[in-house]
Amino acid sequence: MSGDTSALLKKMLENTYTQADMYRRLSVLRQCVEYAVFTDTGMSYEEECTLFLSKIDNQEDAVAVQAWGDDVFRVFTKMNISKTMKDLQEAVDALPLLKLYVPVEFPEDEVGKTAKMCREKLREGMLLDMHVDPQVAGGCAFVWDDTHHDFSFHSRMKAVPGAITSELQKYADE
Amino acid sequence: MFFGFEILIGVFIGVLVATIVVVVIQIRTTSQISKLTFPAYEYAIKKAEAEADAIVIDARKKARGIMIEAEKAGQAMVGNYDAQANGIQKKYEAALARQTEKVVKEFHDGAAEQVQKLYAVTSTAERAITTEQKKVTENVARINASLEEVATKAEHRTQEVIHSLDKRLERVGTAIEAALKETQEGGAKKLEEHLGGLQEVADNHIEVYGASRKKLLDAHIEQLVDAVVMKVLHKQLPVSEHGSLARDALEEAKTKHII
Repeated sequence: MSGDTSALLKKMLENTYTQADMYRRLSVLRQCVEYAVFTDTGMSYEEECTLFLSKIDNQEDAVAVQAWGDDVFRVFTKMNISKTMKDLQEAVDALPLLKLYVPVEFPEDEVGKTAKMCREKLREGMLLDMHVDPQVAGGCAFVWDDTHHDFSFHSRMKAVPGAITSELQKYADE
Repeated sequence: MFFGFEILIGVFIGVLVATIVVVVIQIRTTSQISKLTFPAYEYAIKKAEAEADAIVIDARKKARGIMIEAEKAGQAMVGNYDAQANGIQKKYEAALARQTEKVVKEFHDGAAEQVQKLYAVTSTAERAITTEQKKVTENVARINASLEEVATKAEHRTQEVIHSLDKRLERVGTAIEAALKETQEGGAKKLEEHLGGLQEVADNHIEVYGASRKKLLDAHIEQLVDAVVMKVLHKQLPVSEHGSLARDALEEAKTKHII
């Protein structure tokens, strides 16, 4: 893998769906490659990366970064580490972001499903900024182009005033 | 110098011993004197007590004698006073009886004379009253006749007035009846109009109230349904369904070209 940040980013996006995860894992990657590049332990480059990742507290992030593969680690050298990390950071900042409000906290797999759907049908390479709001049950709410849109049951019911009572009336008349 | 100090101490001790001896002798002497004088003092007290008792007994005897003498003298005096009082009472009763008898006799004499005089006056008065009674009877008969005549005239006059009043009352009644009938007809019409207006206002109020009440009830029902649905969604729906609903909502937003 060359120094092409778009390829790097594509690899990183395979298992990272939220903006928070992305920034945190990017930081882990920076520390990891700096450790491997600037530390002379007699081990191979990949072994040093693996050693570093085994020592960090958030093993979930460690596994995710490890999954990006050795090709990602090998991109970084003493000469290009700073520039490549900067380019990568800018590329992440430029990714489309959807601020999403959901009624309950989603586990990783639901976040992944949602992000994949968004990348397929809405925007490629989209990251999610997840928030929990119990009021949006029965759907979700999101911010897009600095506008808040509510697609929850509550907002739908408010959008059609009298719909429930008219349905109830029909039921009572039967 | 040293020798002089010893002498001084010896003199001091000697004076001290002498003083102690004198004090001891003094105490012993005082004690002996007390022992000797106490019996004499006790004897004098007892003797004085015996003499005082004898004086008291004599005084009591003398006092008792004086009291007996006084009692005797008192009884004698009381006897004398009783005898004198009895005599005075008898004399008083005799004098009183005489006086009473005299007064009664004088009263009887005076009373008989007065009765005679009174009888004479009464007879004269009776005759005068009989005369006057005859006059009064005649006058009453005349007055009765006059009254009967006046009553007949008054009755006749009253009949005329009553007849006149009846006619006037009949006329007034007819007029009042006509006026009442007219008023009643106008009032009924006005009342009907007024009631019609009130009914319309009341109907409007009822309609507005019903509409607002229904609106309020609808809002309440919607709130209730919203709360129930929210609770059910949170309690009953698994996270995967929440995720599915969220994705459906995003797809809907896409179809509406929001995203």
